[in-house]
Amino acid sequence: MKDGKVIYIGKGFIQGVPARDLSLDEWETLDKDTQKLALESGLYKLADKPKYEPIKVGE
Amino acid sequence: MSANAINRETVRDAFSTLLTTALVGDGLPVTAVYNYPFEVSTTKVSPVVVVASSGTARRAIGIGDTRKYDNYFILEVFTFIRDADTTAGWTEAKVEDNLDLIDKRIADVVLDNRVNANWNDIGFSLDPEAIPDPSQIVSDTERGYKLEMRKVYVKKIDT
Repeated sequence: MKDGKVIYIGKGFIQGVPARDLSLDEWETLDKDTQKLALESGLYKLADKPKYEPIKVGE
Repeated sequence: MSANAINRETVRDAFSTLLTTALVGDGLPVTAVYNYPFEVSTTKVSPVVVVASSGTARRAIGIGDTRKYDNYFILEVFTFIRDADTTAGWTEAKVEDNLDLIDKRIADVVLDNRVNANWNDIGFSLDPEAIPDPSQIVSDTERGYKLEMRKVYVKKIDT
């Protein structure tokens, strides 16, 4: 199972797409047009990727 | 001085913008407001509101060579909402609740904006004393949606 998710931020829905947060696995089952529609409609947004700061070990 | 009657588009766009602000966004009930009509049954997104021009009446005002009108613009406001969708987790109750909530929010927008720079009055009937025509809700069970239609009447006096 892949990390990350797609966050549901709307109150409406897209036909055939669960109106809730989606896992990346669920997201990838959607065709490209539906993914595009989901993001452009403002109903979903991609969760920010976790940021990793490099650890400086000695200098 | 030549006449310069107000363009109905100005009013339609302004009303659409107000609806967008009140209805679309995080936690708000509508996915998109369009300021032009299109074949909404083809969209997979729901709910959607459409504002379309529906008619105009203009009465010349003043005397002599005054070139101004009382303009009465009629807008058609459509609320399009898809039927229940099991995959989306969208129940019949949710469809009905949203349809009612959108109706209330549109009513709030009209009352909150009785007068502004773009018009002198707005309401659900041409004659403020008359009982307004009710909105109409049509269910298309074959294509799976409901459509609520209402008219909004806007009065603008040329300046």
